[in-house]
Amino acid sequence: MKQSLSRGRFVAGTAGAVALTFGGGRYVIAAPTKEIVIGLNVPQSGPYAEQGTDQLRAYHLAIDEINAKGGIMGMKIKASEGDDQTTAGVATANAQRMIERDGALMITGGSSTGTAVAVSGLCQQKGVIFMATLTHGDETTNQNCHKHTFRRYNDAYMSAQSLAKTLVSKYGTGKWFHITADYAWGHSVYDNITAVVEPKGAKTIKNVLTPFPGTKDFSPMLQQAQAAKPDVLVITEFGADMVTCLNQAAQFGLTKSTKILVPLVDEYMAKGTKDNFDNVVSTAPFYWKYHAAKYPGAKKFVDAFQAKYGFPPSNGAETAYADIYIYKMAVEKAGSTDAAKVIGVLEGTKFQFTKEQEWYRKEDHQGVNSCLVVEGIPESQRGPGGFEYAKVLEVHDGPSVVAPLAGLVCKMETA
Amino acid sequence: MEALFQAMIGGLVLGLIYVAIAVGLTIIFGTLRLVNFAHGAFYAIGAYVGLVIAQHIGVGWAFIAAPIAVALFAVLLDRLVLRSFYDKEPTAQLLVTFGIALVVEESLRLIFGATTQQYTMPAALQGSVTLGPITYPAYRLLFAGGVIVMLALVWLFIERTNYGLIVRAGIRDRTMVQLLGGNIRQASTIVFALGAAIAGLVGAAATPIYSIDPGTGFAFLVPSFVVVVVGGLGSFWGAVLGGLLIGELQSLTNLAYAPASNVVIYLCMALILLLRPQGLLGESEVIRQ
Amino acid sequence: MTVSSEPAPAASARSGLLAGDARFAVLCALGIAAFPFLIHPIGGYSTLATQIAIVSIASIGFNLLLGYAGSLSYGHAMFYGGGGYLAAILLLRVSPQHPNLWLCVLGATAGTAILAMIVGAVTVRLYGIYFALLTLAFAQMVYFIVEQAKDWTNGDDGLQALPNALLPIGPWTVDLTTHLPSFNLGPFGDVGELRLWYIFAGICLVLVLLFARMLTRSQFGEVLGAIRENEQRSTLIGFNAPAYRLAAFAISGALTGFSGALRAMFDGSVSVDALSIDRSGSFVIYTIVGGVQTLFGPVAGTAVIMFLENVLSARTPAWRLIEGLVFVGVIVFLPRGLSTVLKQQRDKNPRGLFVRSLRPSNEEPDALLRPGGEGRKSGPISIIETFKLGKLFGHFAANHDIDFKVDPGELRAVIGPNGAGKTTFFNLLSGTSAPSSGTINYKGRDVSRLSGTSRVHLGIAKAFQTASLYPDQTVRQNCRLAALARVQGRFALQVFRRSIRLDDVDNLAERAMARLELLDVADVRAGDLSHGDKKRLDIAIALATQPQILLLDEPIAGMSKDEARKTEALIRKLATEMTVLVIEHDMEMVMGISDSITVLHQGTVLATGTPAEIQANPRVQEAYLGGHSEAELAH
Repeated sequence: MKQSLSRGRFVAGTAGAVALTFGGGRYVIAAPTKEIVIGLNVPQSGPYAEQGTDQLRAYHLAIDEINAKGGIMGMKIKASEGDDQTTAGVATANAQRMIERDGALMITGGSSTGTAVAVSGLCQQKGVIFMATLTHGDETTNQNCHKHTFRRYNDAYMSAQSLAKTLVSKYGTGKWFHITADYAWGHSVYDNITAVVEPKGAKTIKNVLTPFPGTKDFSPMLQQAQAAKPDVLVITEFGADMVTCLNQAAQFGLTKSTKILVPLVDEYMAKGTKDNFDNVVSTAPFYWKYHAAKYPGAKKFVDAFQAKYGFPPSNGAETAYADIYIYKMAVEKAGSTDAAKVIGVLEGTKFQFTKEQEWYRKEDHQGVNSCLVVEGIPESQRGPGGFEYAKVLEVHDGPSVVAPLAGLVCKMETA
Repeated sequence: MEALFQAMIGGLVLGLIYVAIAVGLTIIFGTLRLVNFAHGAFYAIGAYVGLVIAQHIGVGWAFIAAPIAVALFAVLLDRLVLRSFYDKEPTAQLLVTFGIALVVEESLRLIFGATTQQYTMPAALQGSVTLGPITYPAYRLLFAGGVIVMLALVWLFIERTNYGLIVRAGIRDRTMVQLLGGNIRQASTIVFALGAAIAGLVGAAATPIYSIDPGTGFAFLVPSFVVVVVGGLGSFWGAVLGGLLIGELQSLTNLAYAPASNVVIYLCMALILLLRPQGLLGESEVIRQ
Repeated sequence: MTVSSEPAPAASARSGLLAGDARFAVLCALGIAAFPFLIHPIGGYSTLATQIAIVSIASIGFNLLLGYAGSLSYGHAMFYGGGGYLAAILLLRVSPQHPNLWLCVLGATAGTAILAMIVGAVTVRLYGIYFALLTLAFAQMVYFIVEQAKDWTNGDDGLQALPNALLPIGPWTVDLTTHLPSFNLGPFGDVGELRLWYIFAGICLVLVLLFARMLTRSQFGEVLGAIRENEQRSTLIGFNAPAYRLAAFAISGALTGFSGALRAMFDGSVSVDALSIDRSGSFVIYTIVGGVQTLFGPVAGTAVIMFLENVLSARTPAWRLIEGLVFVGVIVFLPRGLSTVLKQQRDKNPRGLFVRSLRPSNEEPDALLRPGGEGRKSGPISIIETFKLGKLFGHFAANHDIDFKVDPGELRAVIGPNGAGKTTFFNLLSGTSAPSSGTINYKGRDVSRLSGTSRVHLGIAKAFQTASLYPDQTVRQNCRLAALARVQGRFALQVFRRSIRLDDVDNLAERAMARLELLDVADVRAGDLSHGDKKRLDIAIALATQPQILLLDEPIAGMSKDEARKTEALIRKLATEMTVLVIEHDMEMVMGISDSITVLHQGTVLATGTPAEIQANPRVQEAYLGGHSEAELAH
């Protein structure tokens, strides 16, 4: 009996101390607040941790800016954060906590389609708006679309279309080899790319799937690619996985012998792959260097971000920043934080913040905005910090590459 | 055919990592009767120490600093925590070392961040080697060769030195060794540090190939336990055979049907446990009086 | 689990037991009812409270296996996630328009129980780390299957946005997502934040706690604890240890599956991380931190850790580190509780710690008695007869060509120089080892392939060379366990009540203790006994199984001269009612009390005869002493 008492005291004491230190009274679900709580649900661990962290920086920048000017309709924004660990279960648990305990009115974040889909479903149930940031797979606004979910970022269809339009004249009839992350996003990208290039004559030699998450060693797949001697190697991996894969591909000599396509890229991935990213073709919805030169809204954002953090933002950060401002706009226009009203505004309004004028489609809540095709430049040309990672090959405007309504399977709820 | 050949070499490289970790596990168990679920932590610490040293001082120094650092950590762990667990039930050992592994992983996460990191080898070692029909990254081959050399040295240590003799005798009958005056305490500490150092060195050396993040240690640990079970707890050659077998199995399955590459090793372990629980080269059950 | 040291309660105290159970249930219910309000001021909220209640059920199930059966499973996520997926699939596929919570949850639990029995049948043969790794392996295989069966499980994305399942109770249909009526409790929150789900989960938790309490105090629980404490002994007093461990595994898995199903229904979603290694590990952490020895420990551990995870994870990235440190701290600083509970069979053979198939590998486990095997038909007189019995270890023939016969009521001594194979022979007779060749007939029936457990129930009992006892139980409890085995048989799934036919069990135990003159130490802890008393207790345990033949392996070894003589006399008295085989080195005793003597040498029978005949036998002298004088042999 003595042992259990000691253990009981030990554990209870620790638990109590820790809880009081960290919990305190801060999370009492009080009565009506003068705050709007926004849940920031991003990966801070796992392969997409860098992307998640940069989004968090952008969120904080936007929130601080808005609060400094009086908040949204006089209410300050309060952030509730969580690490979704790139896992659906954890992401939904976080979102639930943010909604239930902290009273979040809007959830945003995410760097993987799997988590986005999960959180989207939960938010629909709870009647809370979900502005999915860095999710690229089609599903988020197609098979798994929901009334409360809005996704501004390009989807896989748009990237594939953009890539294909720019490249197919040169490589259309070549041999293509795919290495694809084995989950919803990877399949989405693969399907989209092959649907565009195969009719033009491209030959798909093989599609090798890499277990996701957790593949550390891509050499078995890369060896197959090397043996197949393709004209184009498509590496459908993201975040740290893409970095590992491309670096390992360089060890196999593939970066020199083959044209490599990475369907979606951001600044951190380019930095991580250093010179191996030279000549690699990819897409991005935003590139700070390009957009800051062209749009004052973007310049303002990039300068503020650089001033606060010392380096330019990644494209994930941009969409995070924009999402906060878009939400603010929608609430102000609706005159209320009531989800139904905000949804109504989002569905019907065109806006412009950091890019050209853009909007969400009513049918699937997919953002219609431009998609850039970029090509990596040597490390020596990349400027301080290596953030200036590419040259822009072509810009495709949103309406020209967005998925046609006819093919959508999205059946959105009415409320 | 080329793909098969490449997969087999890949399996060799992967398998050698498993062998290195498993050998440490198995000789630690053999002398200390310790089931060490924290062994992956040794790999991870070695990898991060190697990473830091390689990035700031030089790759060569990384290979020296990593095993030393890990060996020191191991001895510290031994003195502070594990000593009292040597005579406890294996389940208790499993639990405490599991807890230690968790603490180490989380500490590494806090110190180094959650992102995947890697350092590049010096330019001389980058590039490929042509082996008949295929080209293969030079560093991986060098790595494989290095691990083999290291294992040979370990084998020599066990077979040819006095400490090694105590180790081998201790695997058979620990009490007898103590009664005969063998300084099993000292030999045990040396062996523990050695097993840890091997894992640490491999961790540092493998990082250019596999990258490192806080979870990598555990990711390599579980297959290494599978290797030890398959090869036979306490058997050096069992660890070698098991490691190569499991590495090849994983690599070839990756070629055939990638999603199964993780589960196939568990299937293998389950079969061994059910059909030949002492492992391929483990000793059959000793007479029970 | 410590069996209470009071004497077993009489029937009239049964109502006292029920009252105790009721009291327990009420206390639990009160605690559970207060919980969500207590955690509110420090950051808790109703969803978290409900999740804690649900997951606690899984931890209780896990603890049944770890704390009471002594087995560490590292794969329990397969039941938790499995239950979740089964419930979700039932919900989506079977009348999704009228989702019925009973169907989904109970169906999932049944499915998980079946999975547990299948996996258990395969895994309970193993122990220690091998058991843990094999459960891990199975969990990974289940993970893989679920991931690949995308049509059913949606693969990595999991099943999301499940429809709300309703609970039909009598004439009503209850929607558990309904909030309770609002009632403000100030800093403790508002009753209205809770949904009916919490009440439902709370009721389930109370019932599970009650079940666990009854189970651990039941006959089944008592035997389970005995097996955990000393499996070797438990087997050789007649308990079917693998069956018990399998039953414990199945119950444990079913409870965990039940919890997983509830969670999926409550969350409205299930994903593959419910099947992950981390999930399995979390049960280990909850249970260890909370306390493996206790009933409420797992609940407390779950509550504390889950709460901290939720509160801390938003505040600091170091929360998992803190969790790990607490975990290690609990294990390191509170080792006694842990080791008592986790104690596995102490065995000289280190490998035996990990792997043991108690059944010899070529055994047919529940073989019915067969008519006499090959060889001479035994006459009706011999109680034990062996034909060309042999045992090989590798190339070493510990026993070979043993033809041995003993009549009922004989007191036969088995002697021989060291290494002659005497203990091996006894192991063959008792069923601890399987013969490599030859047969053993017991009362005319071939028992060669029968397990030791079955042989005990036929009447063959053994006392060990090194006393094999339940060191933390009293002498009386030791004997009662043996008597219980006799009365209940090899396996009894008595999970709700204490020992049946207590009087029979008590009487057998009393008689055994009396015959070995242990009554004055009846309530002493077996581990605290003197060496001589321990040896006598070992015999008493064997005696309590009501054997017809008693095998005693060096019963007076290590005893003082007085004790030895006393024990000798007791054995002689025993021999008047049953057959006794004794391995001994003490020649005074051997010559003094034996009816006849068998001499083993180099693995086979050298000579059999009366004491006088053996003493005079020159080959015996040669074997023992290399030709020393008769006078020396007489010692």
